[in-house]
Amino acid sequence: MITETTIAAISTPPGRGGIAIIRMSGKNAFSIAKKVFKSKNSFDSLLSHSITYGKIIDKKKNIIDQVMLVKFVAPKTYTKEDMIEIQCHGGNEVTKKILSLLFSHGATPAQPGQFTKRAFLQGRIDLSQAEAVMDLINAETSKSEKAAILQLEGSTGKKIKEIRQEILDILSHISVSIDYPEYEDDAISIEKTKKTTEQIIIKLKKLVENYETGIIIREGLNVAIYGPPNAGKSTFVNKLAGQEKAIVTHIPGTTRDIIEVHLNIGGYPVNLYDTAGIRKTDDLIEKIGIKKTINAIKNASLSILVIDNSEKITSEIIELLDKATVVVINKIDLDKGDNYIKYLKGKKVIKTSLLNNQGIEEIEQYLLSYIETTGIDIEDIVITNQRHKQLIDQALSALLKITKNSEQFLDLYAIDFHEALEALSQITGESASEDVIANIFRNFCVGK
Amino acid sequence: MKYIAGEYEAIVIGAGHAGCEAALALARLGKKTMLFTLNNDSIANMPCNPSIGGTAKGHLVREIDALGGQMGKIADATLIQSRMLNKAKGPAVHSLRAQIDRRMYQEKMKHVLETQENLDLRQAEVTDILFNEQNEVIGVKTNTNAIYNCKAAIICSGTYLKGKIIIGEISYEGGPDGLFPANKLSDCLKSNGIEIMRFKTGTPSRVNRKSIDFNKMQEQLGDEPIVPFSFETEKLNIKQHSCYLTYTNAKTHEVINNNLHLSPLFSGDIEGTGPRYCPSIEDKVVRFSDKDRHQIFIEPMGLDTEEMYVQGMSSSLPEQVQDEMLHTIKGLEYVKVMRTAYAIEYDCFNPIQLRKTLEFKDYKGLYSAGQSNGSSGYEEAAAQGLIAGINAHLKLDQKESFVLGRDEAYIGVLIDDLVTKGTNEPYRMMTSRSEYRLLLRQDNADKRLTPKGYHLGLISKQRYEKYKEKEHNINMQLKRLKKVVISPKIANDFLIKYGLNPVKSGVTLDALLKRPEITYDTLYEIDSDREKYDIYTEEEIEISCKYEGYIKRQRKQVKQYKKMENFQLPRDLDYQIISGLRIEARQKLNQIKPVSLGQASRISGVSPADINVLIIYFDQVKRKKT
Ligand SMILES: Cc1cc2nc3c(=O)[nH]c(=O)nc-3n(C[C@H](O)[C@H](O)[C@H](O)COP(=O)(O)OP(=O)(O)OC[C@H]3O[C@@H](n4cnc5c(N)ncnc54)[C@H](O)[C@@H]3O)c2cc1C
Ligand SMILES: Nc1nc2c(ncn2[C@@H]2O[C@H](COP(=O)(O)OP(=O)(O)OP(=O)(O)O)[C@@H](O)[C@H]2O)c(=O)[nH]1
Ligand SMILES: [Mg+2]
Repeated sequence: MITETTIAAISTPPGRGGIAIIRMSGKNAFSIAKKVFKSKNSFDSLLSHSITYGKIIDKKKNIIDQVMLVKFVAPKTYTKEDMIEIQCHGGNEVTKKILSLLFSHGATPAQPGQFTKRAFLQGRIDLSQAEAVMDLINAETSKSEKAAILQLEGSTGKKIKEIRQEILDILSHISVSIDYPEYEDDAISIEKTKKTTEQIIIKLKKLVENYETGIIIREGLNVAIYGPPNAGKSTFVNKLAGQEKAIVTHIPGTTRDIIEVHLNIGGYPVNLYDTAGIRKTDDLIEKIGIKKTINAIKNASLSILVIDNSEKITSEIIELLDKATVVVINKIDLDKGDNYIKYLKGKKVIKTSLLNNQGIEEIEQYLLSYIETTGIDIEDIVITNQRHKQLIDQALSALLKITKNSEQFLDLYAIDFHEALEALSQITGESASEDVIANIFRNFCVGK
Repeated sequence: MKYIAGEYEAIVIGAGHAGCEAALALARLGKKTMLFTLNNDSIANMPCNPSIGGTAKGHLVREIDALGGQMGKIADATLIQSRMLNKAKGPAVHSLRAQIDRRMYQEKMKHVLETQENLDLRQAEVTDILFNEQNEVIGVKTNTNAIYNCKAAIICSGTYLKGKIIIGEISYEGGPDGLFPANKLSDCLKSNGIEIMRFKTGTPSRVNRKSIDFNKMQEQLGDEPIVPFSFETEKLNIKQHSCYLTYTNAKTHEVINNNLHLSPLFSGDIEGTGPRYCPSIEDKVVRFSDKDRHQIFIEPMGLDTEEMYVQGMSSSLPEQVQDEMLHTIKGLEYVKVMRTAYAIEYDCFNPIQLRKTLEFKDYKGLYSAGQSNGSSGYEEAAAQGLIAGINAHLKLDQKESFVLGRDEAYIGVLIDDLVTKGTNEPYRMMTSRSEYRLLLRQDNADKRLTPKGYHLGLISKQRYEKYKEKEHNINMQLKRLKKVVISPKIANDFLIKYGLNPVKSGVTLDALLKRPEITYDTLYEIDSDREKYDIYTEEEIEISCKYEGYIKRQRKQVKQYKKMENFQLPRDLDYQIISGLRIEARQKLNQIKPVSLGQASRISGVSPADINVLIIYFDQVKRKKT
């Protein structure tokens, strides 16, 4: 998934003198560069990964600096997007000028780590590499801090931000009620405050529950593939992965252990779990495998049941049917063996012939739209960072005080909300106080 | 021909709310002071709503008063309606708000200035600030080429610098209320290297009372008894006047929507966006299109005038559209407009150029206070004026500066926010800006600040003694409440009467008062021998007892805050050399040169990681030294 904005930033540590490097990445990187960079040969004719000498020119045609420019044509770049590197003569003034010139032509300032984040989302680098790059970006800050930042780029951060926003919303609502008492229409009641708080508490608790059970699941959408033996589950996984990750044979009961495959669907991390086919069996190994299957279904946020179009449906499968969000009816190239439809009410059904590559795109489409509409589910998210855990606990205990509070004054509730907001803001690195004020004016119609 | 017209220790430029407090503080502290204003007939003018106080602003007035300022006293003397807002929302946010007779306020303030010892008041436009080679203030020059020598100058120019009035597509040079703008001073400052910003604000129309049908509106009465602003005002017995509430409706919104293209805000003719808390009516209608009505308050401008202020109807639409809009509103169908709503653009200074004393970092002896620092509001202005005046005085005497912390006063929050974070719209005080609301109440402003005011020399010995007596009484009572145990028999009758569960053993008065349903007043029923005090004392006893838990919690937070504030940073440090900081942080830190780690942490663009880097850096420096 290509991100819309074109980002730019200084990527060399400042104050070191000599050469500074400015990087720009995104859809408009070339069109922007074309406007500010003048060289002997036209910009379009420059080759990818070659270095070119030229001048940076501002909107009034003044020369700002003489620079070396490297053009990187997508997708063979760090971020897999079109990229530009400008090596200029260091010095804060000049570098800043060039950067603001890029901004004035439509680039936006890159957040710390944003290039890496893009590279990561584009599947260019995996998590462990990204960490190494982050180390370089802010070499002086402590390691735990960095791990924390990294984790925030993922779904954990997103979820915490969402919850933080909900707290911010109530707090702003309380603030409006207090700072604009004459606007009675906009006032919030204590009952409503408490109710909303209860909902927030449930969400936060879920986040830390995972921490306590110690289940560390990789970030991403966890999808369990299950069904009767021989239905084509392993084929499913292989086809989506684009390579032979799991053994496929015509023998029922081929897969015994969980096979985990990491995919990137539309820029989102997705973890597929191929499982042992479910059936009654006396085979000890297979039994253990089936147990694992059931666990995998439990831990997944999305479970896909694969059934064989040409087979009869068993009672074991019917039992597990309600765990399925999607049912894949595979082998539609073969004759129908049973009438499944009566069991599948309310389920999303995708008919495939995986062997013939039929229906794979539909599955991918479905997964993408699932992620984009529901977001990556809370069950997938774990708090692994001790500091985050502690801050969430802090927020929780503040929120719990609110639900137990019997005071009749709204203002006294604000203190606990502030504490909760402050704690979560420490995770997300946002400023609590400024945001409350900004939120008030965004969401409420007050003022003379 | 230039000539030397006078010698002063301090000169205050502008007799608005900031200038009046600054000049009075200086003169009262014994400094020979000159106060200039563009027009002697508009001293302490309220170009917008003739009202003082309100949420957070009422707190500011109390604080000004507790430090020995003037605003609260004159407000008490000229108010025509008074209300205590937020009584149902919590003790920390009770806020006094008064409707003021605008002319009377001006006259009373002018008279106080005229009779103040050490203070001269003069109508003249200051065009230049004079500096020596070291960028120290040595005097000012007026439009009549008169030079006044001084060692300190405080600019309190409000919305007058290069003022430009905008009504629909019409615009012209001007100050508020038809007064002249001051067109030269900001050029002089700019040429000296001071960063100027261009801000905008607006005010709704004024209409004639006799053309309003109040029967179609909701009347809003004042509260009785009136609680004064000033701790020194004994009792107020006046006849109160009402305000009125009405609403816009579908028709109003239709008129606005049909004429949006005529608004300079929407066509892009006005560059500066107005403050967010002061949206024009067209802004409200567009941004909150799901709302089918907006509140409109009609408020009197004074006793001897029929002009009424129409709160909620700020607009940048052309005059004829404004009239049409007003006539759609219930009760205003035949209303006669006396002053058209307008917006004003003006020059002000980027406040991050200032120290917490409100002195410019790079210009010795030059201060700025009030709207010229990017704030908005009479109370915000007055508060800054007072602090600038006090600090100019202290500096002239080579004494340590006077800075209030965020834990001590809303004034501290206001100034810290301005000089640390800067602002990109006129800054308005709000209770939500304060972290320690439960400590910064309007009822305890004297406790927080009167001792300081006394030590500065702005509070009389007599008032200080009175304050001490009050404090003594409060502490004594609080102790007594904790000591006196009520037998279950008496307590249970009382508890049941107020719908509460009975107790088995004796219970202290303190514990009873901590129940949400019980007030200090009702407690009298079982504690009738207790001593009777004035309302201020009793209010503070009640709050201190009832909210002891919360207050303790905030005190704890303050301790944390103080740790960061007490971590002092050197003023001459070049942050570029600290390689662990992010670039943005280095630049911001160099620009603001925070005095403490706490201040640094509040700068936008300085992250918690950067603060950690700073801690490590200074730790290293310290270790290297030892
Ligand atoms: C149209 C309008 C709408 C407003 N709306 C609001 C609002 O909604 N809410 C709110 O809280 N506040 C509002 N205000 C702001 C409020 O009026 C000011 O914040 C407050 O009055 C500022 O006080 P001050 O002392 O800083 O300046 P002012 O009260 O503006 O006083 C400035 C003084 O400086 C003098 N002066 C200026 N330049 C010179 C010079 N060169 N030489 C000599 N004297 C000079 C003037 O004569 C005047 O006496 C509004 C103001 C205006 C004009
Ligand atoms: N005709 C047909 N055969 C298919 C299709 N998909 C898979 N198969 C075949 O079905 C057999 C079983 O496939 P697997 O993917 O191993 O099935 P599984 O569900 O993983 O089986 P277990 O691991 O034993 O539970 C293989 O021989 C596949 O080639 C299909 O769409 N059509
Ligand atoms: Mg298999």
